[in-house]
Amino acid sequence: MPQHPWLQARFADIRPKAIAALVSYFRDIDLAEESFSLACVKALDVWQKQGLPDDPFAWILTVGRNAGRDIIRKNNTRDNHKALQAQENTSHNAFHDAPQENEFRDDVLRLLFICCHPKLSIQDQSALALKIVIGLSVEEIACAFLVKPKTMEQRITRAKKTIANDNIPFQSPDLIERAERLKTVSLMLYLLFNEGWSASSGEVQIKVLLCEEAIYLTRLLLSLFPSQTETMGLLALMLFQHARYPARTDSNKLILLEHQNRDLWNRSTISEAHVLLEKALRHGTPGPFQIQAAIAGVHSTAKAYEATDWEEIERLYALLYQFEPTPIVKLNHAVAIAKTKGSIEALKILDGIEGELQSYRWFHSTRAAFLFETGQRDKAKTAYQRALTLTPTEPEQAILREKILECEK
Amino acid sequence: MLYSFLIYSAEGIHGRLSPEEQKLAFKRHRLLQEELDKRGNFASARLMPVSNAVTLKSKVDQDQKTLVTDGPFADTKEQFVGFYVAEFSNLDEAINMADMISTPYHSIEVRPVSWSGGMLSNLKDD
Repeated sequence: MPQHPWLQARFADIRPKAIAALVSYFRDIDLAEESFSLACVKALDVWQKQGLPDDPFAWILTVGRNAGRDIIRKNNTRDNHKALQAQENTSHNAFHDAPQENEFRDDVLRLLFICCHPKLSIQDQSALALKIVIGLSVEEIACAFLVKPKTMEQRITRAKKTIANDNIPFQSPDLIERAERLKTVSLMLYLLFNEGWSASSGEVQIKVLLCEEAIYLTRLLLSLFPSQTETMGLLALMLFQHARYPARTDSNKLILLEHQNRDLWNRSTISEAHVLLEKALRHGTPGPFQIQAAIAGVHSTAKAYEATDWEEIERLYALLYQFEPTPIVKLNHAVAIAKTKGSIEALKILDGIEGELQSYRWFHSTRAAFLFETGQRDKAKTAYQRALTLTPTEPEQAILREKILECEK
Repeated sequence: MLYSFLIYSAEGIHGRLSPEEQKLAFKRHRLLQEELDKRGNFASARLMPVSNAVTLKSKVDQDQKTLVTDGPFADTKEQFVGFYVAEFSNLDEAINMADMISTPYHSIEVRPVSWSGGMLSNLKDD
């Protein structure tokens, strides 16, 4: 049977919501995944013969639910408990009426939230979301995270066990609980994007797949919660950064913002980000993602690095520090201050956060740059060397080695 | 007579196709655009995702203020993702041309245009 690519694409797009709804129904992730797969197999056959149903999502859900109940019935003697639970769950109203995708928004949020289990590392949380929600294969995920498939397989199996042992409340969350879940899930997606954006090991600097999937999931979240300004901010932030991807490496060498060819930036992605940010700001409820998006937006609007509105960026970092009083935000604020008030002022700020950022490579490379600009080349060299020992990726190391050579001139 | 082609699709699907499949879909659009270009004026647009949209709703109260909400006009499973406006001598011709870009995951509504304006105002319905 020929496998039509558009059918596979539709299954991929239906999957997050369908899996989420089936997990709510069966309260068993493995069973939900298996039921969804069986429904897709049946859809491949039936849809190619009879054409697409009016509501493909509802079709998959109904067939998936029946497939899952068949599995339960077969295992009934072995696992009576799950069968009873699934029968109790038939009170889930959405299955009686024609279900609308958006009725399942809390289910999708819950599933993503389940993946964010506090006992899991952030990498395992993302890997789990990519496996369960997106439906990537273990090989694809392993490749994206630059680990061996076998290692990833073990990690995912372990992570699944961890979340299976936990009791997630399945009743609809109240407003406060929903906001908390959105916050946790947004942070996971943000870190997933960053994992792709700034690889923590290996030669591949930007793991595009991770960035793209983080964007896909954030789009999904925003489509389900269209008035969430911080979700708009998060998506805008990702899109502003992702738009620079074509200009960010050159034959595996990292190109800093300063030296990027801005003609290579994806303009339509940037305009989409601008619209999202404008939409968010209309509400007048600023938050850390919106502010970071605004900062990324200032960079995206500048025709050249020299034309960057550093006054605005400095103001935005000061505002961000009110929401997130962390040494990293302070470090970035110092970079903006170096542009508006000079490197001597910026170095004074760095003195105050040195203790907290001892093992942070950007702290040392930033400090080195300020020292170099104020003529303290020996101190600058030492700081660059310190940054080098903390830098795992080859493209970033190459940049630092060049800087060290400059200090020796 | 002017006709518009209104293209409907679930937004996420295009991005889930392989890059080759995506190129193939765009190629058919380019063929139609070349054909329409030979015939005279036309306009075409690809729209941003509905998450970028706002909807204005007139409110009938004392203030008569327009309510602006986030998101698309209606929550349906398919979104309006693009349209064509061009001159055709009859419906059949429009249908045949629209068929150049039809796929199993698009619905295309062919609907006559009763008024055109703005950049499209040079297209006369007479």
